[in-house]
Amino acid sequence: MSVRAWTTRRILGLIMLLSLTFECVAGELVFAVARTAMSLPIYVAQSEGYFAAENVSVRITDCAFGKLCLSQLLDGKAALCTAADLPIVFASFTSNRFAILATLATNRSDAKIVTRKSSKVRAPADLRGKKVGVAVGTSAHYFLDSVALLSGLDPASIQLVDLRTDEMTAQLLTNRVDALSAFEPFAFQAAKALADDALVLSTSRTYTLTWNIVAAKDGLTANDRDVEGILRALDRAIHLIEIDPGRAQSILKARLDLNDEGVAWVWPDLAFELGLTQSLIKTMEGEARWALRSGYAQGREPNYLRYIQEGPLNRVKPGSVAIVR
Amino acid sequence: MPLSKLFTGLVVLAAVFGLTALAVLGFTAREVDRLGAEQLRAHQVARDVSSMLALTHEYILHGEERAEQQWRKRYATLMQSLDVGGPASDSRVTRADLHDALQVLPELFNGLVGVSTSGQRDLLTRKRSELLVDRLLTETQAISEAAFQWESQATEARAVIERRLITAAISLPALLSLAFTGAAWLLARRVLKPIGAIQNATAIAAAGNLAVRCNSSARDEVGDLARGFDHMANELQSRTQSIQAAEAFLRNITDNLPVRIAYVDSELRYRFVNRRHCERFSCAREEIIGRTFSEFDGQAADPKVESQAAAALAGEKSTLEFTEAIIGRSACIERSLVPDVAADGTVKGFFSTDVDITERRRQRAEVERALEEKEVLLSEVHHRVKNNLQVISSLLQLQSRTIESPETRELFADSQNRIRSMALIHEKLYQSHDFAQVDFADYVQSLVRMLEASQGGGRGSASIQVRAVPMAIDIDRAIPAGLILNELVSNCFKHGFPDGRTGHIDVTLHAHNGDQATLAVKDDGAGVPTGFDPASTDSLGLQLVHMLADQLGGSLSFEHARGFSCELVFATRKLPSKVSRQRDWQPS
Repeated sequence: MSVRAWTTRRILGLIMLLSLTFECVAGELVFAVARTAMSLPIYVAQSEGYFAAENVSVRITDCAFGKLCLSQLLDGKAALCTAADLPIVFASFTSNRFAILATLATNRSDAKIVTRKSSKVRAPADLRGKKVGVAVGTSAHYFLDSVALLSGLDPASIQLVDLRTDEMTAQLLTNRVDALSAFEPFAFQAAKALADDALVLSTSRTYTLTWNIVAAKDGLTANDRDVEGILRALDRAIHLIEIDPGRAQSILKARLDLNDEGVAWVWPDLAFELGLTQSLIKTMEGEARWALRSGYAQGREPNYLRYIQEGPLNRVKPGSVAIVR
Repeated sequence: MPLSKLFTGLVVLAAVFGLTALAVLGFTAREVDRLGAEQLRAHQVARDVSSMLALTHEYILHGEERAEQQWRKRYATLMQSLDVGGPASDSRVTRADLHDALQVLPELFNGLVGVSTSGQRDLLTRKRSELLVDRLLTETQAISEAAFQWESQATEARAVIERRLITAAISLPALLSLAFTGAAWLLARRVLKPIGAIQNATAIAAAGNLAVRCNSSARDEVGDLARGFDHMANELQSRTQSIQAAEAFLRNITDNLPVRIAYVDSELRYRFVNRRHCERFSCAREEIIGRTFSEFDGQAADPKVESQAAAALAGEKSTLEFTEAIIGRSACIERSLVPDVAADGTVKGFFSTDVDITERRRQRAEVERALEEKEVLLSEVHHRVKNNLQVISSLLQLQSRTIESPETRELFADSQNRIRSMALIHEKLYQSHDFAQVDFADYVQSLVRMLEASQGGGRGSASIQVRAVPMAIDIDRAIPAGLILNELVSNCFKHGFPDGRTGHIDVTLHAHNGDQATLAVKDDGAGVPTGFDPASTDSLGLQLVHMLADQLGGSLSFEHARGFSCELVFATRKLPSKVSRQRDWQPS
C-alpha cells in the first residue's frame, strides 16, 4: 500500500470515526427511540422532565423498531438508541463501535405469530409451507425460527416473506401472507385489523426479548456524566411506572397513539428494570450461533463482553450489574 | 392554658407517642423477621437455581441420567419451595415471577432430553438441540439472576428496615428525651418557677413583711394560687393592721389602768404584762414575756402566791391580799387570779390583776370607825328616849296617885301604857343594835307581858297567849303597830272580862305575801255591847287604832259575835332602810 493510499485511508477512517462519535448538536444528545411500549421509561423521563432535572439535554428521534434505531446510531445520526438483543447481535458481526449501557426492559411475549382463522393455522407446526411475513434480521425473525424448531418444524420449510413493518398488516389482510411474525405494536395492529378473524398462536415463553440502551463507544467517555444522568433519569422513570402505572399508561397512550385496548394488550408482558445480566450475554450468544448456523451472519461468534459498558450503570445503580468481567 | 389541660394534653401526647413508638417498633421488628425469612427463602431459591444451572451444563456435556434425575428433583424442590405460602413479597422480583419463569424450563429440558435420547443426528435435530441448549441455559441463567436479584432485593429491603429499626431505636429515646426535656422545661417554667416565687413571697410574709406580693399574670392554676396568695396577704395585712391597732388600743388601756395586769400560761410563763407590771419589775416588756413566774421577785418563794397560782391553774378563782414595798412605802396589794379555761375544760393559764388597795383599806377603816361612833350615838339616843318616856310614864303614875276619880286614874294608866309601848320600841332598838328595824315578834311578846303585868284587880282575870313569827319591821311602822296592839290588848283586859269573869286572850302575828303581816288580837270574853260599832265609837282607844291603822296603810277587821276579835293587816316596811350594817335581817 502506497503512502498516499495509506494517508487517504486514514483520512477516510477519521471521517468515519467522527461520524460515529456522539451526535451532539450544541450539547444536545440525540436518542433514537423505537416506537414500542418497551421504550416507555424514556417517554416518561422526557415527559416528567427527569432528563432536564439531571441537566441532560436529550432530543428523541422516533424510529419504527430497534433495528432502525441501531442503524441510525451506527450511521452516526444518534448518540444513543434503543434496540432489542437480536439487531445488536447482527450488528456485532460487522461493527464493534457501540456498547450496550443497560437493559431497559424484558418482554416474554413481545413477538407474536398472528394469522387468520381462515388460514387453518392453529399451531406453529401448521406453518410448514406457509408464507409468513417477517422483518428479516429482527427479533421477530429469530422468534419465528425458534418457534419452528421448538415445534419440531424445520424453519426452512416456512416461506419467509421479508416485509417492512408498515406493510405487514396489509399483507396479511390481503392474504399475501398466511401469517405474520411481528413484534409490538405491529402484532397488535394486525390483530386489530383482522378483528374476529385474528388468531395469535400460543408461543409464550419461547423467547425473552431484552430491550437495551445502546451507545456509540466513541465519545462515551467524554459524555460519561450525561450518560449517567440519562440512566438516573430512566431509573427514576421506572420507579414512577411502578408506583403510578396509570400515569405511565397515559404517557404511553399519548406517545404511541394507543387506546386503552392497545395498552391492555401489551401491558401485562412488560417488565421494566434497569440492569445488565449474564443472561443478556447468553441470549446474544445463542442468537449469534443461530445467525451463524442459519447463514444470516458470517465470521466468528463475537465476545459480547466487549459490547457491554457496565461502568455508568454500576455508578448509577450499584448492584444492578450481574456481569463478571 | 390551665395546667390541668396542659398536663392532660402532655399525658395524652406521651401515651399516643409511646403507643405509636411501640407500634412502629413492633411493626418494624415484624418486618425485619418477615424480610429475614424472605431473604432466607430467596437465598435458598438462588442456590437451587444455580444448582440447576450446573446440572443443566452437566447434562448438556455428558447426557448422564443421574444429572437428568437430579435436575428434575431440584426442579421439583424449587417449585415446591416457591409454592409455599406466605405474605407477598415487596420485591420487584417476586416468587410469582420466578414460579412463572420456571415453568418454561421443563418443556425445554424435556425437549433437550428427547433430542439427546432420540439418536437422530440430522441437521434439523442438531439445530433444534442447539436452540434448546441455548434457550435452556439462557432461561436458567435468567432465572438464576432473577433469584439472586430477589435475594439481593430482600437483603436490601431487610437492610433498609434494619436501618429504620436502628434509627427508630436511636431516635425514639432521643425524641422521648427531648419530649421529657420539653415537659421538664414546661414544668419548670409554668409550675416550679411560679411556685418558687410564691414560696419566696410566703417566706417573706412569714418573716413579717406582709406587703410582699406575687403579682402573677399567668392564667392557670399556679397563677390562681399566686393571686390567692396576694389576696390572702392583702387580707392578712389589713387584719394585722386592725389587730395591731386593737392591740395598741388595748395596750393603751391596760397600760393606763392603775392595776397590774398579766397573763401567765400553764407553764407559769408570762405571756402578757402591762406597763404597771413592767414598772414593778423594772424590766422592759420583752424581758418579762416568756420568763417564768418564779424568775421575778421571788414570787414562787411565797407559799401563798405559789398556792394561789396552783389553784388558778386548777381552775379556781381566788383573791389574795399581801403587802409589798413600793418605792419606799408599804403597799397593800390585792391579787386576783382568774383561770383561762378552754372549751374542753383544760386550763390554759390565768389572768392576773394586782390592785393597790392601800388607800381603799384606809378609807374603809375610817368608815367603819365612823359607823361605830354613829351606832354608839344612836344607841345612846334611843336609850335616852326610852329613859325619858319612862320618866314621863313615872311622872304620870306619880300624878295619878293624887287623882281620886278612878276614870281619870284609868286615863292616866292608859297614857302610861301608851308611853311604855313606845319606850319599849326604843329599848328593843338599842338592845338590838339595829337602829332601823325591830324584831316585832320579840316586841309583841315583851309588850303583851308588860300589859299583862300592869293589869290591876277588881276585874276578871284572863290568860294571854302570844304566837308570833319573827319578822323585822321599820321603826316608823313598829311604833304605830305597837300602839294598836297596846290599845287592843288593853281593851281586852279592860272590857272583856268584867265582874271576875275569866277567859283567854290570843295574840298572833304572822307574815304572808312577802312583806305583809297580820296582827290579830282575840278574846273569848264578854264581847261588845249590842249596837256597838268599832268604826264609829267615841272610844279614844279605838279611834287611835283606826287612826294608826290608816297611818300604816293597813286594814282592820273586827269580829264580836263571840268575844272580841280584831285583825290588822299591814305592810312590814315602806322603804328600804338607807343606814344599815346588815343588809339582810337575821333573826336573833
